[in-house]
Amino acid sequence: MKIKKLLVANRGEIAVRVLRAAKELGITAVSVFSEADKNALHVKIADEAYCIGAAPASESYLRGDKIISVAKEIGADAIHPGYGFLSENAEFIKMCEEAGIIFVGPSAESVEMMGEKTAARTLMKKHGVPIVPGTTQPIESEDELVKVAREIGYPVMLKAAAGGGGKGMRRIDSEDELVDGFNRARSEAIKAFGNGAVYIEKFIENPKHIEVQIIADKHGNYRHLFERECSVQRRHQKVIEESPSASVTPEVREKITQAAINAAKACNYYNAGTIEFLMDRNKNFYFLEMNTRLQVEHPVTELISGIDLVKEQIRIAEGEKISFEQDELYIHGAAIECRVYAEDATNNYAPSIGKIELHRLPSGPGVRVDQGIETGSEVSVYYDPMLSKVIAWGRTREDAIRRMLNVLNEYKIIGVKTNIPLFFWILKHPKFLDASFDINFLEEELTPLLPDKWTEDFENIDDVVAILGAIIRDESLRFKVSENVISEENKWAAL
Amino acid sequence: MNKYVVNINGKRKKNVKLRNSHAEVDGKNVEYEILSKNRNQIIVKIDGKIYNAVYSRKGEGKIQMLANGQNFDLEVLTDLQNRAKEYQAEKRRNSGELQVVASMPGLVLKINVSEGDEINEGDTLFILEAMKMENEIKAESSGKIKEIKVKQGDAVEKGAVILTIG
Repeated sequence: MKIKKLLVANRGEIAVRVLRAAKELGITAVSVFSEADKNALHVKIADEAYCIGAAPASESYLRGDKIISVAKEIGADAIHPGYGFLSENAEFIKMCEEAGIIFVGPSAESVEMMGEKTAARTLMKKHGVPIVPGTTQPIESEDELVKVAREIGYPVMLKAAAGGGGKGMRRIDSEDELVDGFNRARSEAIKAFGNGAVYIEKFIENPKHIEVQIIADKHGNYRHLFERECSVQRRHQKVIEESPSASVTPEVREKITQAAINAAKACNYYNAGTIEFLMDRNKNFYFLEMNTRLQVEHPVTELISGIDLVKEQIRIAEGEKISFEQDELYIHGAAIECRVYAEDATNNYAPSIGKIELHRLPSGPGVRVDQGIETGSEVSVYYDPMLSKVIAWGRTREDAIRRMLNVLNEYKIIGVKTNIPLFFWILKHPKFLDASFDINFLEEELTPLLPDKWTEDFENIDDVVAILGAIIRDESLRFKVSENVISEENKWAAL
Repeated sequence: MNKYVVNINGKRKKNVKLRNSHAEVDGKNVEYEILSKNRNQIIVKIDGKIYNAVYSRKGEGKIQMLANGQNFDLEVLTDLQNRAKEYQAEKRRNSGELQVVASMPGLVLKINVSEGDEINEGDTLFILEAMKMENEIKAESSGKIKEIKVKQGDAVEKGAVILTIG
């Protein structure tokens, strides 16, 4: 069934991205917005826009019921969820189905199969997708503990089954520490979670985050669009992504992309999706999780593959087949993405809110910016602080990095502070340049330099900045004086 | 010639003098030319090199700037404001009472406070016009306005006491 009217249930840059794709396909593009977003870019570029509630997401963008009733009212035949918000909400997918609206995404069943982490792990194991070696069930006895640890090899990680957020985890480097560590992990787990169940996993040292973009249709066709590396992370949030990964060899690529397709097949997947892996120094990779939606970093894949993932998603949702064959794809050059956040990297990533007084985009060959803001936009406390994504393409990784440095210099954004300075630091760092970085890179290299010691690596332009500041002040003072003169004259004229 | 003291990121101070197309930074002379300037962007050629910065005014004399891929927080004081600030700080150290004086000859354009007012550090006390520029003179410490010794429109000499804070 052809989609005629598509409602985009999201905001910011991803809403803009999806609206553009819909318009290019000749589909009427509809935005929904909260009261805080009535002047937002995603409202202005839509064909139609409807308010769905107050500023907090729980009263607007997360209100599946309201969004579906708007869709019905205006005759939208499909909903695209973007990422975040309702994108991986199986209940919402069912609600769409019941309302007779096409959900541009996977089935509720696929989302559920991948949503529960231990169940997903078991499913992957069954389908030959490598998972971190270990047990899927709690350890029952010391004998079992020693036996399993020997099998998987040290170091191992003891994890509380009920744990999370780094709590109830204990690294064990040798058999001497094992039994004692196990007892401690158990008592910690009881104290913290009231549940002493502990399982064991191999500890992956300094892994890289490698993920594979896949896409599948409702006719059982599966394709992969190579890998992305997203190891530059702060607090588990990706900061820079690239494709291809400089650390993935053709042999590893062959294996990891096949594993990703197996993972997608295991949950009868259709739509665009991403399978995330951890890769160790010996290039062994292990399933981490599957994201059953479009990803923030999808543009790097689009730039190296030439495929428009959002248009493919829409076509697949209509019931069409994937528009390309696997062997038509090849990796064309290299692409890097920087996520621009409204935050002050010199001040513990403090969010920076306010009005964007100037937003001037960079341009030139191989440059793409997916933005959700423009000059005059308000950055509020209600939503994710990501303002835009800057993507640079080059024939080689080196070209892409150099282009990115140039592009970031040309990108003019003021009114709020952004993390742009941080990118200059990362993109010039030896460990980034030689691709030896892993997921601990920012934690190990940058954190010791915070709050702002890292900026000492920059060229000192204090003299220039002082002159600029004085000129700005000078002009503003003169302007004020002349205003004052006029008002004095007017006063006399009035007398 | 206009003199400024620029405080960079609350840490480093630079003395800047501007005269036509000449600038002097901490005694170092450079030539500059403004290529373009609007509310939020300034492009200046300094000794032949082009600098393109965007900025946002964050209150009196306070400027947030993105230049050369770095964020800067600037506070730009006129020479007079800076001297008033330093003088007040010194006075406060020396005695309980604070005399706020004109650190340059000028015209008292406006007095923003009245006797008996409770004021906070950073409040604007009065505006002194000197060398064709308005200088907001701010309180360096909080307290009560004890006495105001001049009227709006008065011309004052350097060193004249404008008001006292108790």
